[in-house]
Amino acid sequence: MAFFRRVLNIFRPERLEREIYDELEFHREMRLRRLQERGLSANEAEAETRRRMGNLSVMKEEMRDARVVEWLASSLQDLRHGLVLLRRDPGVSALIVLVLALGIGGNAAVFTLLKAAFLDRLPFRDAERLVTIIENDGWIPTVSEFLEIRKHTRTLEGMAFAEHRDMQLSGTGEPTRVFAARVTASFFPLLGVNAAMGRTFLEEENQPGRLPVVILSHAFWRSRMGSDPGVIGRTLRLDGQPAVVVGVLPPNFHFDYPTLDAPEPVDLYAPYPVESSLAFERAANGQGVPVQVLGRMRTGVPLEQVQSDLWDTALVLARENRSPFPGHPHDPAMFGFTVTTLRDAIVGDQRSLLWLLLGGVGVLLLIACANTAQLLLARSLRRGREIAVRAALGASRLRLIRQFLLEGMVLACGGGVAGLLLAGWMTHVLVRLLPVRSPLLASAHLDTRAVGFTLAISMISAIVFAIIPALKGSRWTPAPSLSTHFTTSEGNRWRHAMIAIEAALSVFLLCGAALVAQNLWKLISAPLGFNPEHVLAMRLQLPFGKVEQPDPRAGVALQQYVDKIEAIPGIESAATVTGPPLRPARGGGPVQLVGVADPGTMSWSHQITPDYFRTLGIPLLAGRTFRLSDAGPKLTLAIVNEEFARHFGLGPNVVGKQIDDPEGPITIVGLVGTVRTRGLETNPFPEYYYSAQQLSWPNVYLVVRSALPPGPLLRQVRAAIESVNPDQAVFGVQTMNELVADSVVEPRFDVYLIGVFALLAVGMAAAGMYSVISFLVSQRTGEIAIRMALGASRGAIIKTVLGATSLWVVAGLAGGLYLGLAASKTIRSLTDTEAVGSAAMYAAVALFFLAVTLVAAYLPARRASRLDPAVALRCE
Amino acid sequence: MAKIRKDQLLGKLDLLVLRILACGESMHGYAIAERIEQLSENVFQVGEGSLYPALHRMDESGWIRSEWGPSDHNRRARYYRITAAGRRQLEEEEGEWLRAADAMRRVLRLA
Repeated sequence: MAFFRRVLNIFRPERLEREIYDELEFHREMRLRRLQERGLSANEAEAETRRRMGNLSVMKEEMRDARVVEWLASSLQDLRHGLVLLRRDPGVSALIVLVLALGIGGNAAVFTLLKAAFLDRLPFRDAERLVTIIENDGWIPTVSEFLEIRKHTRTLEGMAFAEHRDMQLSGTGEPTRVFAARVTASFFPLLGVNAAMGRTFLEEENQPGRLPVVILSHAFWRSRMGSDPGVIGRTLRLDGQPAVVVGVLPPNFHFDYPTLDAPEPVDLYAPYPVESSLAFERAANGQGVPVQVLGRMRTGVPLEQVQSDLWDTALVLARENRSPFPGHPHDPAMFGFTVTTLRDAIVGDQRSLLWLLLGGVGVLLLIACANTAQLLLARSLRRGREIAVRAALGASRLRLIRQFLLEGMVLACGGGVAGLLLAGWMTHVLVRLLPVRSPLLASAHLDTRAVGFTLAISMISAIVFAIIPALKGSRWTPAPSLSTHFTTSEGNRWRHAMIAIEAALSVFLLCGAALVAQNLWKLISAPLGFNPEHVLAMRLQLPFGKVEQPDPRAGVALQQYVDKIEAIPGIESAATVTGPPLRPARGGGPVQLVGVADPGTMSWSHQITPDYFRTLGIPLLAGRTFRLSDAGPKLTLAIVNEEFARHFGLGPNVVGKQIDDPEGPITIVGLVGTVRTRGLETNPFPEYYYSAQQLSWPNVYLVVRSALPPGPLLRQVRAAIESVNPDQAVFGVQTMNELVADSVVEPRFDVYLIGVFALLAVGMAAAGMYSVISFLVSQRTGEIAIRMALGASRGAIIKTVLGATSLWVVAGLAGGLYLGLAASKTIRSLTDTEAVGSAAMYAAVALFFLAVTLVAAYLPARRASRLDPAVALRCE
Repeated sequence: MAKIRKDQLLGKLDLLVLRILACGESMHGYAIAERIEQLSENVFQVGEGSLYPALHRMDESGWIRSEWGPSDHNRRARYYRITAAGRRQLEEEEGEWLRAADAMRRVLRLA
């Protein structure tokens, strides 16, 4: 049991020690005896033996080193020694652990998110075989086309369609709006999900005209149905129609990814009415309804094969279905489908956000390591005498280096454990702060892989930050190190290099932050084209008709609401619109003017009630707005925006021109200012407005201008609507200002995110600079005192103290600006930034950084310049 | 005859120790040192500074095994004995060394 005995030795270092002693003692005695036998005197023999055996302590150290168990035991000993030293200045140690915890915790949190996005299993059966399919020319495909694909394809084993929409739930208390998904019967089997209660949909329930059925999400069943165990068979009123509950989904089932067009959690599922008559002609007219298309690849079929199969299918479809409008953007000859794996589709453009986060925390960790290296370097050099003594007593350089590395590991482990505790919380906070809801990232959790990753980066960072202090600190020269006047300029170059690196990294982050901030500024300072003050917006959906079709009854019903609301005292005006500013328009297409030779321009259309322009403060430039009398079953009137007129090379005299329409010409009666309807970042689009009295969709936004505070205003508006129709739900209430703020939520998030990273980085760099300059000053106290005694001015002293450091800082600054410039393209593409960094912006970044540097350098430099030479020299 | 310098010997100390232990009997450190000096006719003077760390290293590597036993003078001594792994190591190192020495001799004679 030799091995066992050796392991025991770790815990009994004194045993090994005694054995070594005994062995050498025996040797000494033998040598002594033999020498005396050869005739040497006792003294001579003693001297000769000592000469031959040399430095015993070095030999013993080497013998100990030869032992693996001893290696471990001495590591333990070094560790204990390290812990004692770390406890000796708890402030610095705590600071280091804190900084590392931030750096490591941030990385662990981002790793957890990346893991959720790319590694963790999706909660669906054989999720790696699931794909989404989109039409890649950007026009909206219909279910019928995908039914054709389903017929033709040999690479997909199943397909399902889903469409998300608002529905109105009534009959159970106050009418409420619910978020619903309409899906084909194949949807649940495709994802491998069974109902927790009841059943999922049947194939025939997708046929239109059937008695509507509905499946509830678990959350909806719990919160709205009071977890009623007898809910199956109950009837709800959905959009004014009775619908029978046939199933409740399991609690862990969610398929509500914003990247797949589901901005909110889905409350309930209804069958998608598949009308096969709704075929190509409607799609070709641009009246297709966007659906999410899911497919399941056959086992063993690679994605590329599915892709090429779908291209072939598209060709066949294009040949079989001649377009009524050849060359038109909706020509089926332009068919083409792109297949994406479900995971890629779900992650979507959150990918760039994750990379941005990773870059940020990575840079922060580097700075944290540089800072820790600084502090350890300073400490390792302060310990010069201890090191010299240990080296003289036989510690090898390797052993000393190991000592420093072990201390680093202890710090890194502390940082890692604290970081891990932080990481869980940070992950949670990051997901909460994300500009878009992300169920995929919300499912992120710490697991063994995350813990392993955290430990690994802790160890790697320990090596990164401890290696230079270890190499520098373990080097010693006996005489000066042991003398009492021990000062060293050893490691100053490294210290400065570290400062330069920190400066470069933080300036780099500052550049990124400035870039996205400039972009945000550009967006919010762009003219809106309307006045968002004192306007409340909300959504409503008339409880009748089909959402995807205009309904002649809609205009009348909406006007009734508006009339009631405008009668409330304190309300200036109210109107409805199908697509208010910064929300997508509901319709549009190529428009041609009668008698104008122009290929036509893509324009967006809105349906409004008469007071719309007044309510939003959009200026009327020529002609008139709509009147209540602009009613009728046919579109005859339109109002266009400035951009529309500009496109046709017409100014105010666009009024009176006619839009060419298959159902007869539409006369332009007014010209209004342009509004950024498609978001702040896009240029104004040609747009035209119809009177809601002539055409309207049943789902609209209601906008109300009033000086009343939003709370009471909303109550009165609700009451007014209820007095007309008690079944009408109102939802999505926001002030227009909130809506504007919402439209820049992502650029704003980028600014906050990179800004926080940059400020943390600058803070750490400043702390690093402060500690370096303080160290340099304390190192050179004697020299400074002598200079002052010889008459050097304060300015000269400050110059001496800061001279070398400022050079390095400027070098770092230049490096950071270079990095910032070089990476600006990447940052812009990751953040969707249009703005290009201006020279002024980079100058501002440089100035800001220099100002922070000056503040950090000021205190220690001032201390140096205020030194009392007499006191300082006496202390020497 | 000049003594071989310590650093030249260092790399081959393992070989010498293994060779001596390969004769079969177990020996303590002092005896090993003495035997090396004897056999090399005092050309190799083994410093204790390198012998004992080398012995401990080889013990750790499993080439030799050590155990405590009584010595001639009724003192406790640590005895070293070669293992099978040690013999394999010896064979290898011996071959290498002889080849190198052979090559060296040829070069010195011909050049």
